[in-house]
Amino acid sequence: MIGERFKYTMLLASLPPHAPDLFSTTQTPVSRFQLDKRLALLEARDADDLRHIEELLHWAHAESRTDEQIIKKSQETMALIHDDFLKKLICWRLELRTLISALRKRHAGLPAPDKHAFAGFGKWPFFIVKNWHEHDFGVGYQVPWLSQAQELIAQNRSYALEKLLLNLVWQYYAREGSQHYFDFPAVVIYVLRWNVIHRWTNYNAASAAERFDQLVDAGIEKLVLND
Amino acid sequence: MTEFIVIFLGWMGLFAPMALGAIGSIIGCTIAGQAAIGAMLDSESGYGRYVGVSAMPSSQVIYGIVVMFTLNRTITANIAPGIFAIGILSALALMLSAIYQGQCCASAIHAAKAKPEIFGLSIAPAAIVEGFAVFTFIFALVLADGIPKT
Repeated sequence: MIGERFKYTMLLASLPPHAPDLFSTTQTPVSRFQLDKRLALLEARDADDLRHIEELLHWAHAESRTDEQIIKKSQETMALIHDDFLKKLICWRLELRTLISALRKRHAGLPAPDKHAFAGFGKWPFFIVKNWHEHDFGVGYQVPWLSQAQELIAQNRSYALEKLLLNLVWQYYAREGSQHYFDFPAVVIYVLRWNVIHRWTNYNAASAAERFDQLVDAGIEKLVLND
Repeated sequence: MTEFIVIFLGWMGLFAPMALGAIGSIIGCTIAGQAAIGAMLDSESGYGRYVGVSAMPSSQVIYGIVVMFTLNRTITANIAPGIFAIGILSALALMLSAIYQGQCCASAIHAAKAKPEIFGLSIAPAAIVEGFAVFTFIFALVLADGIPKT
């Protein structure tokens, strides 16, 4: 019991802590290269679990696939994860995506799906189909942020919506991680929060503009030199 | 046969503070030591104090050795129950305090690495746990004095 709870003490102590506030972060606390070097300390089974979890949450696996294919593949990958707590953690994120995809589809003017025709995770597809025309699919009392997300989608405020969702995920991981200090779930939560920071810092408009300028300058310089 | 069991338990009680104290210290120092090594990978200074804190759970084995020598006498059926009770209970307390102190030390190292200014305060919980181990040690010595030498 003690062994499991303190299995990755060295690994986690070797990682710099995440900042309490996601949006004040300008860069990841450690580079992916360094993070991967530390993650080499994971046991083979745990390393596989972490790889499956990252695969599940990374959008790359969803490219050029239908919703049904994505869900089938996700369920297959989910079955490979050993820890129930981690399954719950991932399921929450996939359920969030299910709700957001329903909001976006409705906003895009898609008709109400037929019974059992909405592909998604968890208990929400049933409510989505049943209450398609209600602004919060009738589950606003269980999912308090849904109304706000719906308003942001209706107003086409994508950036604010993205901030809302990232903050939800960030806070959820922080809450779930508060009971795990040096065990495997703590490692997974660290990596998932790292991914959230990575995504946020990549969205940084000022950095993007600066990078764009650098690329343009480099291109012009190259052209001048070639001439 | 009953006398044999009673005397056997007496011997167990005699060696338990040392053995279980050592087990506790082994686990506690391992947990805290791993945190210290991890912290060294992520910091540029303060290595010495990380290692120092990680050694805190080693005191319980020393208390265990002293309790064992204090209890040490010819074991008879008369005194064996007393030795067993004091020995086993103090041993369990020392073992658990070492393990949990190791966890406190690991957390202290982890926190102090991120925020060096809280180093002193962060080891306070480990020091409080040490205090409970000292209580066990002192009162085991006091009670051991009441057990007849022969």
